Amino acid sequence: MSSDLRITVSEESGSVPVTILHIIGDLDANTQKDFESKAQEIVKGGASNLLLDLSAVGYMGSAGLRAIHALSTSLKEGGQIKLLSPSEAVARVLKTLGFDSYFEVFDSVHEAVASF
Amino acid sequence: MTGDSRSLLITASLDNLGHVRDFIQEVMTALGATAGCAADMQLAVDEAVTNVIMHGYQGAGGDVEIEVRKHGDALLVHIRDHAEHFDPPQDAGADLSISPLDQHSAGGFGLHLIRGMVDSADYRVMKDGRNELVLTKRCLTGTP
Repeated sequence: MSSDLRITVSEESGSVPVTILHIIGDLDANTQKDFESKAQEIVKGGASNLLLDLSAVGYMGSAGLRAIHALSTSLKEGGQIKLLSPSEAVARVLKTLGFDSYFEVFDSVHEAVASF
Repeated sequence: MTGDSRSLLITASLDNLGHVRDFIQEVMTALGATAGCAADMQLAVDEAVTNVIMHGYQGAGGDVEIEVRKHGDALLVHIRDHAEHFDPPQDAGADLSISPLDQHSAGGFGLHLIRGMVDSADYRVMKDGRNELVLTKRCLTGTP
């Protein structure tokens, strides 16, 4: 397991356009800046309904949560962030810090997109 | 290095975090920890080493020693460094009664994770002047 991160982006249409960030790899203090850079590029491009696909995130610590926190505060009013398919380990981190109470978490991309 | 103890010495760089996590996973498993226990300790160690690199050495480099050893039914991870002395107060950490979205900053999450993942986290200054943080988790009783 290395500390590398890759992000691909896709678009889905529910009642509103939803931008999905597929995060692949480890989201730690070393890769946090890569995530933030990519996320800001997407937000500056006009995206405001974001679904973070965590299914391929092998590791996420507080740096990842800080990055999600920063992203959420950078969205314009009405913008939303939702989470998709965290692994058991990542879900445990979300739960420990209470993020699961404030961000909706989905196991199905279709349900997630429809919820926006 | 003894049968119940393994050590790793790294340069204090965020590039080495993946290497540290791999080491913890491998050694904890070899010493008999369950997968869940190893994952918890891996998270706590990653947070602690990140703090040493970013806040202790402030990105200026230095060495960090990580030793894993077995003691009874517990596994201990000793994290030693030469950075400025820093022992966060017991009440430091994020206020989880506030939504993460309303936190003025996201600092403190790391400390909360460390405390949530291990049975104890004890800090001291060693006789040679190094900081030492000892993370303890009872992993060898069959319970995660």
